[in-house]
Amino acid sequence: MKNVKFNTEKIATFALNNKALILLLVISIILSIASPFFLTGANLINVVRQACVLAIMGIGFTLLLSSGSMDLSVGNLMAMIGVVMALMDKAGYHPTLIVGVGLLVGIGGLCFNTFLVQTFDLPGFILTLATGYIFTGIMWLISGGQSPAGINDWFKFIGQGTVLGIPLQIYLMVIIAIIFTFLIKKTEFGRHSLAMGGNLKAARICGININKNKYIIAAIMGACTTVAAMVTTGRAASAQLSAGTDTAMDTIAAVVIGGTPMSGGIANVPGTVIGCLLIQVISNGLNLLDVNSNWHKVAKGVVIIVAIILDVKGTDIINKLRVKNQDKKAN
Amino acid sequence: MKDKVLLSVKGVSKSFIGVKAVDNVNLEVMEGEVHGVVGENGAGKSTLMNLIFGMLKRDSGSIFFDGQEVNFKGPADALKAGISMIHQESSLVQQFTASENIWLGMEERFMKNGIINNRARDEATQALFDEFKLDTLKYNMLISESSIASCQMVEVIRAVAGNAKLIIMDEPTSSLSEKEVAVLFRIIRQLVEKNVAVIYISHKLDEVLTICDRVSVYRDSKYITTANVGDINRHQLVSFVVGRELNNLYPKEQSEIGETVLEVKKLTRYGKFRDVSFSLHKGEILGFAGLQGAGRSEVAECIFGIEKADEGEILIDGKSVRIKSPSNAIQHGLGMVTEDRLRSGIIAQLSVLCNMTLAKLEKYCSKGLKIINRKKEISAVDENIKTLQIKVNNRNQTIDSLSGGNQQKVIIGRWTLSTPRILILDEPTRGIDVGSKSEIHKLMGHFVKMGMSIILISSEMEEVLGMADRIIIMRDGQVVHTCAREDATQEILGSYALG
Ligand SMILES: Nc1ncnc2c1ncn2[C@@H]1O[C@H](COP(=O)(O)OP(=O)(O)OP(=O)(O)O)[C@@H](O)[C@H]1O
Ligand SMILES: [Mg+2]
Repeated sequence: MKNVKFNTEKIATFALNNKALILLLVISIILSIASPFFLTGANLINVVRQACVLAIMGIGFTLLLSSGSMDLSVGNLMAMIGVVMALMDKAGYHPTLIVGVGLLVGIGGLCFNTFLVQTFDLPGFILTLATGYIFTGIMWLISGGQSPAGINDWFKFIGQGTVLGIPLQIYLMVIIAIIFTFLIKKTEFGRHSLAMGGNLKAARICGININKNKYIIAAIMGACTTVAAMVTTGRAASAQLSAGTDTAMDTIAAVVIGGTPMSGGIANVPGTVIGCLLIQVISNGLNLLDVNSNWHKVAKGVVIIVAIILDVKGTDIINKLRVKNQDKKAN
Repeated sequence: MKDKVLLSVKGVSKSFIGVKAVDNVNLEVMEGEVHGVVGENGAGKSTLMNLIFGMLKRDSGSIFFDGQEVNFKGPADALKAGISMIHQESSLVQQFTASENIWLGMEERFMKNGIINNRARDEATQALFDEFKLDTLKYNMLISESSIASCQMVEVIRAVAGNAKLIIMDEPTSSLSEKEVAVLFRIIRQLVEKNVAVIYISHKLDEVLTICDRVSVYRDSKYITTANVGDINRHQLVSFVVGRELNNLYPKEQSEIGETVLEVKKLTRYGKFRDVSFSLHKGEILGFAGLQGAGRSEVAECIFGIEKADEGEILIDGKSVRIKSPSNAIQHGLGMVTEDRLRSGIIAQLSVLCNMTLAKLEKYCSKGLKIINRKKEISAVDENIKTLQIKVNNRNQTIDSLSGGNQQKVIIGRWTLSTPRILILDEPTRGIDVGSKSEIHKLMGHFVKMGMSIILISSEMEEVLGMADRIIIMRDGQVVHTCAREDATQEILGSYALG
């Protein structure tokens, strides 16, 4: 008897710690019943592939958010990098140089944000809203209002190529997820980042170099942004001027659904990946079911609300369950 | 007068994950009585108060208040019934003024047509400050810019403002120095005259014996006993609390005092302190006595690089050093337990383990990529939990699920793990029970014997007198007296500190 109870508790704990995963499974089951096309290999790979860009951004953002920073300009920056790289490619520059410049713009852009925030002690939320406008403005200026199309094959390969039958971007996502999980869980840098997100003053007193770490985190996020820009551009074979519009909000939503709170100090990288998949599965399902695309946004909103409710209430429920079991055992 | 029962708690229990925090506990408080509640860290005192105040829901048992059984759904119900509470950790809104904080949730009385009359509210605040003769407080002072002691007084006044019949004070004096404790006692006596009852939680047993009529003792989540303060002495109370005999609170051992390790010359920070000079020797405990606001913490913060000094020089091992940040300070072999555990000590979301190793994580990391060696980290933490006798279920629980005193021990553990040569302790035993206090004092003795040097800042004169080899007394940002342990007495410290 006791063992059975213990297990229910364990299962419940697991479920609530991985609520995004449970939601994902539930919705997937419903969709596979509702549409015969959902549970096909091609469609599933397609879903994962579509989730990759968001996931690559989201994983970087998980680190950023959990270390107590905020950046709303990442989407705008991503679109701008796409344009820069596509234009350079059309102009015939060497791929290495293009990637190098792309990384430089990504890292530079976010370090510029960090510089302003740290030097003038500004709230990142507002500042990056402002720099987001700047990035978008620059993008329109250099593109002249037209998306540069007709990129070379190497570039297309990043967004469209497959290795052993699986899209390259899925490898990218998995590798980045593994690196970040390791970085956050197992290294001094990761621990320090979480400490900064939890209590900045205490972290400083513990000898953590706040400034340096903020720049490193910005640079890492910048690199993720560049990779995401490359995948998006390569996939469409042209830079997407509107690619960045909702990206920051989608990213934050995926990260939070995945179990990384806005308040810092806690990070969940696998959760973020699941969160991205969840968002993608929903819009894929609605597509398959031929639902008006405006409903996609409504659905996304609903899922975020459900996830957050589960987060808050679920922890309460599980705690009560545990306490009851423990008192029963004691008596 | 004190024969009518106001509050009666009968057989109340409450469990959290992994612990039964309050186990079948009783408490009875009379009208107009000051009732002490004492017990070790983690004994369940705060939890019991939160149950009474409706912050937490009890699992079983019953609570009677003012003749009726009560089941508060939240603090709002408790406040309405006439109970207010000063929490162990500050619950003021940092961005608000004193006046705004005091009447938070009670603005109704100053409202007209839905608009708060700020003038009337501020006048009411000032009237309260006047009534209780708190002339250092101003109604419009900003909490984020006020000292801990002032904030504490604001909390007290907030509790008083609601015209409560029962005021629960959870360690109200842990951040006050003696002068302010006297003020608090005066306020409590004024309240008692108005037939208000006070539950007074403190680890400072002398205070409990001074101000309380009766005292209830709790240990390991259980109710032990209630005694009339007139019937027991300090020694008996201590043994009730720790459950055994405890003879020496200040187990001072003579350690060998060596060469100068730290020298501070004419250190000045405008508006905070000026011309502070002293030296610290190897194996020495240097005590800093004085009142809250005398500038002791500020001096320590400048030495540790948290703030910048405007003038002066710091020498370590005879060499002049520029300490620009805490990370600099740590590289120079310094460590510091800061005064304000909540604001600058704990990282609430992180586990006990992560909190404890944070100050020198690289000790457990590989070279280069700095990958944490989990095994090494765990064994260091476990050992430290044992030596400091920290009450935890599990090293991976978040630090904010520990009792206040145990959180403090984790922070002390953080700095002992960083093995500094010079350790600055700013009110290290604040909120720590008598038993553990004596343990921490023993550890301090142990550290200096191994060649560490300690700067001990404490508002508790007895602690400074009991532990320090030399004592520096500060007042109004200046060093006013320095003396050796042998020459120091309560009277000397008191007279210099007050001026
Ligand atoms: N939210 C919580 N979750 C889990 N355990 C908790 C929680 N709050 C308190 N506890 C546990 O309950 C026990 C009693 O804690 P409590 O804060 O009541 O102690 P206390 O007597 O006030 O101690 P102190 O003198 O240190 O303030 C402790 O073991 C503590 O770890
Ligand atoms: Mg407590």
